[in-house]
Amino acid sequence: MSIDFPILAFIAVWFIFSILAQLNTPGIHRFDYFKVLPTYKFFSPRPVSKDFCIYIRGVTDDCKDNWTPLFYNKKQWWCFIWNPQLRLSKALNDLFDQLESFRNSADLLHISIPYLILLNSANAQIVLANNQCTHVQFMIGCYEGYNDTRITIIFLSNIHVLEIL
Amino acid sequence: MDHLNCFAQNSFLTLYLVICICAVGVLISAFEWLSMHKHFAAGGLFSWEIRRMGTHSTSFEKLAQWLFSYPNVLILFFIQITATITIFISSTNHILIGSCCLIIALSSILLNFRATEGISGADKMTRLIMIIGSISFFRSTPLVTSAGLIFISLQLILAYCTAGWVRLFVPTWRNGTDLALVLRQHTYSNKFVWSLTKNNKLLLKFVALFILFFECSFLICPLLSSTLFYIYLGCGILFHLSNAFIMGLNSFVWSFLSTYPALIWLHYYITLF
Repeated sequence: MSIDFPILAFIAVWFIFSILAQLNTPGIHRFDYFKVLPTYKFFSPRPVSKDFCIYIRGVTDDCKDNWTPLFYNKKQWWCFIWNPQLRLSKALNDLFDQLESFRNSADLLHISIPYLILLNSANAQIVLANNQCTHVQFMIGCYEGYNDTRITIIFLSNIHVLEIL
Repeated sequence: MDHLNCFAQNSFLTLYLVICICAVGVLISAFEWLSMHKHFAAGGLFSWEIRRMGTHSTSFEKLAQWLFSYPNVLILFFIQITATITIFISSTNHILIGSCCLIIALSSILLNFRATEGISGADKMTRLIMIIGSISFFRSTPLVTSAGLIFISLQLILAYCTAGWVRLFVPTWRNGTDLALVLRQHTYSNKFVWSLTKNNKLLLKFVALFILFFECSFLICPLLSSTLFYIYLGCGILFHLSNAFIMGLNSFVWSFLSTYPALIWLHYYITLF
């Protein structure tokens, strides 16, 4: 019984902090090292309104390749039970969100972790596909889903020297 | 309903049911990540080679270098699969179930350290349930198990209420515009649902308001009579299944519906008093 009460107190405090996390209490997530404070604002206050996609291309001194998707995101009818593609789409959205936070600091943008992750992925794909290329570039686009499939470029990377892995 | 209340009379059985349903989600999730193993390799979207630059702690870095690099990171998913299967087959050994819950929770925390991208709200709910499961099964007293079940129930109520109340004050959620924005996406919808809803603003508004009403009023759900309570749970099950079928949010089904037995347990004891 004596050990029970500290455990109960811990559970109670954890729940109080969970409530505070929903109220955007400043600094509440700073010490959440184990990521145990949830945020339950699914699709709120405003939802992601567009589909994101990432395209890459190899560049040589003479010409530029066509844009090709970094990965194909095809939703299957069995997505209700098996949907690994959603992880990729979510990851791309998360990386783009992180990239957005560097929009106003152009000097840091190109050495930011999300930028380097996307560049690294683009680099690996181009190396796999065509070793004639000397440079690589990626772009993030978005479109209005079934409403309008025309892609708007929302982020275009610099052209980087291809690193042979 | 009496049948449903039967298991609620046993808090250990209720918690075991919560853990088992949640473990199904962990199992599917682990296999999903394993199916994308190439994205964890060098040059993949989830590769460690760039992310390791963000780690600062030397001792943590040493562990991270070994565990988080490819293919070692896949061990974490195999550990999760082994732990979930062990949970399914060991219904009476509380220490073993608690250990498996702890292993799943720790592996989930480690994976979150490695990369936050691609982690959903369902994964976070699963982590909470597994931590509470490990505490409750290790201690194995009725008091701690009850506290664990109350915590899980309250987390579910908090989840629905937060999502509902935040959106309630946004006019575009109330009139169905934001729901249409979600349902037009390839990622979160399908062609049939979009063709059904794109020109039907009344349907969109009705569905949006129904979801808002369900989420915002979920706070009083455990206090309702049994009939109304189970109608609420039925709506919740329908909500998560439609999210899975239409939006592809498959992991939410297991993580959120696993909390329902805890809520049934809470409702049973509230009605007793």
